[in-house]
Amino acid sequence: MGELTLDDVLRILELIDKSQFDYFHLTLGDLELTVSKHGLPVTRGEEERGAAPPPPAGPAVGVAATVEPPSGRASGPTAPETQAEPGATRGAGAAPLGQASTAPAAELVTVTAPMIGTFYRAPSPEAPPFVEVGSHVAPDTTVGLIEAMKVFTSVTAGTAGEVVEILVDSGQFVEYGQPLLRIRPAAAGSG
Amino acid sequence: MALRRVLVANRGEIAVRIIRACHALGLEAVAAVSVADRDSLPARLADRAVCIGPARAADSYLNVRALIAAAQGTGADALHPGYGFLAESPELAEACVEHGIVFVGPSPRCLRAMGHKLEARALAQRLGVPTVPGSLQAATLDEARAHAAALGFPLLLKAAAGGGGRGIKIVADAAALPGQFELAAAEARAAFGDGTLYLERYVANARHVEVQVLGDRFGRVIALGERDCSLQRRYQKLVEEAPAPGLAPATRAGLAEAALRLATALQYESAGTVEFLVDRDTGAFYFLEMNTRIQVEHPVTEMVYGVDLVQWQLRIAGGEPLAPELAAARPSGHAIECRINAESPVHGFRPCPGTLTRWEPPAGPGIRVDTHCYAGYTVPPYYDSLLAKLIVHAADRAAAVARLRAALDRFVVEGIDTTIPFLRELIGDPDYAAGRFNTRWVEQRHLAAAGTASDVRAGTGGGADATD
Repeated sequence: MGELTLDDVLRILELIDKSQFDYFHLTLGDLELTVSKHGLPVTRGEEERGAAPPPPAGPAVGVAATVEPPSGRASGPTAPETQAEPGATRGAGAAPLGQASTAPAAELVTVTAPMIGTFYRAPSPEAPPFVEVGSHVAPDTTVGLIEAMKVFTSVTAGTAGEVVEILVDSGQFVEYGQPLLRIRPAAAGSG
Repeated sequence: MALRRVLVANRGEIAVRIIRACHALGLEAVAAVSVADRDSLPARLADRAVCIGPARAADSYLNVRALIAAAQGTGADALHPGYGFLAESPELAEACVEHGIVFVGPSPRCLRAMGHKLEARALAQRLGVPTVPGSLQAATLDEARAHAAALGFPLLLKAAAGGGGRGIKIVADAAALPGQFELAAAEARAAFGDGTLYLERYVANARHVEVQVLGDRFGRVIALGERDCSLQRRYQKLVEEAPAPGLAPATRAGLAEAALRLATALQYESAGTVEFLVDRDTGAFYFLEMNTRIQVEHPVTEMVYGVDLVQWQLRIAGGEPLAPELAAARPSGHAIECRINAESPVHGFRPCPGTLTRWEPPAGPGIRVDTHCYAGYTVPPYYDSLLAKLIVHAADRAAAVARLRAALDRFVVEGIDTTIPFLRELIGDPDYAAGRFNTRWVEQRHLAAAGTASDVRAGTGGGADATD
């Protein structure tokens, strides 16, 4: 099978758009393409550990990337990751993609837990917290970690702005979707 | 060690069932729920509910890490997996062991031993438990051809790694073999990641009969009679009853003895089910597979034996030995269960999620309804379509059938389509009342005429092992 060209991708997007399907995933060698409609969560599996998420372009989308445990390796293989929740910035889970970037500056954006587990505000007990109230963050700024079965998943801000409230303590058990912190989005253009 | 708090790692009616069993034993129950089930009945009945992930099952109910994190985060000392989802996953059971959480079910060793259908068959053969005549495996069409010539037609192709009806194909004759082999292998690969198949003689006039077993940590294993689950559509059970009707006493005793032999050899712990095919023409029975979990149809056994199987699962997990009187328990009367699904029988049984505007289940002596539904509940589209199990118990089979008919007539559901009208038709059929049915009866008598082409084409029948 040959290379996937831009034309191929555009053609695929066109077909998906016209189809009745809401979710499309294509793997060609080491290339993966995932398309979802109507704000359905995009999930990725079997991503190589430590691979950095692609830099966000366009609308702010919260991405939870998986990293190695801060100290020592987790023994044995771990379950495939569930990650890259584009809804990391949403409230009840129904907000359309890109809402964060179009929200009025006065409206606070809540960063919610992309998974269930133990929330950590710092990469290690000795290290300073990733962010404090007053910190300025970019969409890809790490604001905390969530640990489950010794695998750590980073939580990113998902939006540019200023941290105005931190809602959970380090070491606290959080559920999926639980509010973690609130961000006042930067005015359009300055973020 | 006694348990204190149990994480219920499932949803729907079985989550409600487990929570109630926990409460009856004085245990706390924590419901692990997806976003879609946050306001569900299990979430409200439990002492606490935790959201483990998005609606998609792969990200919530099938996510081992999320379940372990939920158990640890809520201080649960045990995890009950229910049925379906990860109930028979050695990975979840092992993760529980590793994290000091009691898995309410058999050991990972038993889950693995019975999870691979060919290995389970081989163990049965070593123990002298009869299996359907067939091949060890057929990785290629040529191998399948060679085995088929020895076995004769018609025959069944089954997935070695399988279960649950997927990857099963009936092959009428030699000409159909290449096409069906390709289909079955593709289905098996897609469902189980392994396209290996095996061949089995097709038993045309068969009943699906299964034996309930229960084992404790101390090597004691008992059998609590059998259930007949012959009424199926596409390998999915519709109606189950206990005891199995029309079974010769010798066959009944032989089934229980074979199930016990298998469970004892496995040092089986917790509740399990050994499934058999009974040839109605010869009276011979054959081992199909063992299900290492509590099953959907467990209530019919509970009704006739007066035991609570889910409570016993919890007690065994807590280290209690089986009570001696359980081994001496005898069945009393007859029980029948039917599954009420959110499916439209007139539209090829397509799923019908939506809001229940009316939900009025029947009640009265000898009537039990296991459900998570209520008026106003919205059935989410993400999961299986089981709404409720209607179970009746009466002094004998005729009285149970009459009671079930009356109960089905009084079951009022509005807002979505359900299988209730179809169940009324089945239970109202004089053949059913007379016990004249086999595993193909539903498809041949009640679906072929309706012209649901897909059902006719599926052509399921004897020799197939239905899912739970």
